[in-house]
Amino acid sequence: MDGVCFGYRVRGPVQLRYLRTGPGDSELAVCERDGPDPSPAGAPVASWPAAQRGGLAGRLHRDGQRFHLWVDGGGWFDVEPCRPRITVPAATDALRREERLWGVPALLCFSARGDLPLHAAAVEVDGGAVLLAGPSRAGKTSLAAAFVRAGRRLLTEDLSCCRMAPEPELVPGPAMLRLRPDAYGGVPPDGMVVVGRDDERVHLALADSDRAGCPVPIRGLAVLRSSRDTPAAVPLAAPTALPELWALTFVLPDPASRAQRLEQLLALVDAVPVWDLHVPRGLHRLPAAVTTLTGVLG
Amino acid sequence: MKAGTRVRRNPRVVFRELSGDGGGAVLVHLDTGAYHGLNAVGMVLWELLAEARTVAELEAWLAERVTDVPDTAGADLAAFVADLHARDLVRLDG
Repeated sequence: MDGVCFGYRVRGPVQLRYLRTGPGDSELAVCERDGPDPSPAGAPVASWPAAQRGGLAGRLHRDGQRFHLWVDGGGWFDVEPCRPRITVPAATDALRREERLWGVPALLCFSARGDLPLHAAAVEVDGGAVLLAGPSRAGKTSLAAAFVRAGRRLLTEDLSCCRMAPEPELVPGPAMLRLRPDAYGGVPPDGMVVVGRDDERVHLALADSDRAGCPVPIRGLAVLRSSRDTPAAVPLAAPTALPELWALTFVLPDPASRAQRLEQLLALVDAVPVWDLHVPRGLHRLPAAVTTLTGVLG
Repeated sequence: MKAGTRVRRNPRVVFRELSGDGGGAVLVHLDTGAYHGLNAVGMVLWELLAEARTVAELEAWLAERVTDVPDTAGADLAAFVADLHARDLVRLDG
């Protein structure tokens, strides 16, 4: 295994399909559990409700500097952000296990490194990263796929790692895209290959040529809105944008984490333009949304 | 709310003024993570609360500095302070 993700040079014996190329700037150890599962005491510090339409339910426990994440149907992930190291459960399904690895476990590590985790996909447009932010089922992945079909590079599918100093940068995430079967269309976008299928998703991986893992300057941020009308990108002022982006920011439930995330979010909104992106319903209308957003980027 | 009720900020709340278009400010409660926006007037009142003040002092400040103060200003101010208190953003004494 040799590659990077979220800026980490990943090392360890676990075979991973979605790594990118590049030097990375720090190391992340990923290893497989060879002992008993953890049995954390006390209430979780965060939990996710029962799965809805393919979402994952889980809970996060904190044990000093260490976290234990339970994912329903996925097992226990142990996360030690300060080392950093992630211990994954023994594989029954290596692809899904990796996809879970690059969610909460990875964000706990890069949050501790000082980067801002935002619930957003990101694509590269003319050398800059454009973030597509929204809650689950807002259409981030389908719109990101439409950008890829328009010849743009996918930087991350669902979780954006934003580095704030000196200028905002997007640190690319896993080279994966998970599309609902009805959003897939039967043919993978150019430069992507199908690596798995199930009832909920078609799992795609980026071709090696599009896997550069170096940080990309952030050019803008679009907050997705479902619309019945034609696509539109409307500038969003900070007082309106911030509460929505705050809700899309992963924040550990402790005062220091909240204070740091607020400063980072303010810096991000101060540095890059934010738009409300009205995206019409219907896959066939996504290319128009791509054109609209690309147009306002200039 | 009594005129002599003393209002002071909850020290567990972070305040940040927004730059750029729109102005206003942000309050985040560090213990709950709750986010609250403030408009320009709310921001000025929050800045006034850098030190504890009575409701009467806040009213007097508004009357002195704001032209065309509406008749409802006192009630509006009381409602604003009550709302801040309900959100645990300020503490009230007396």
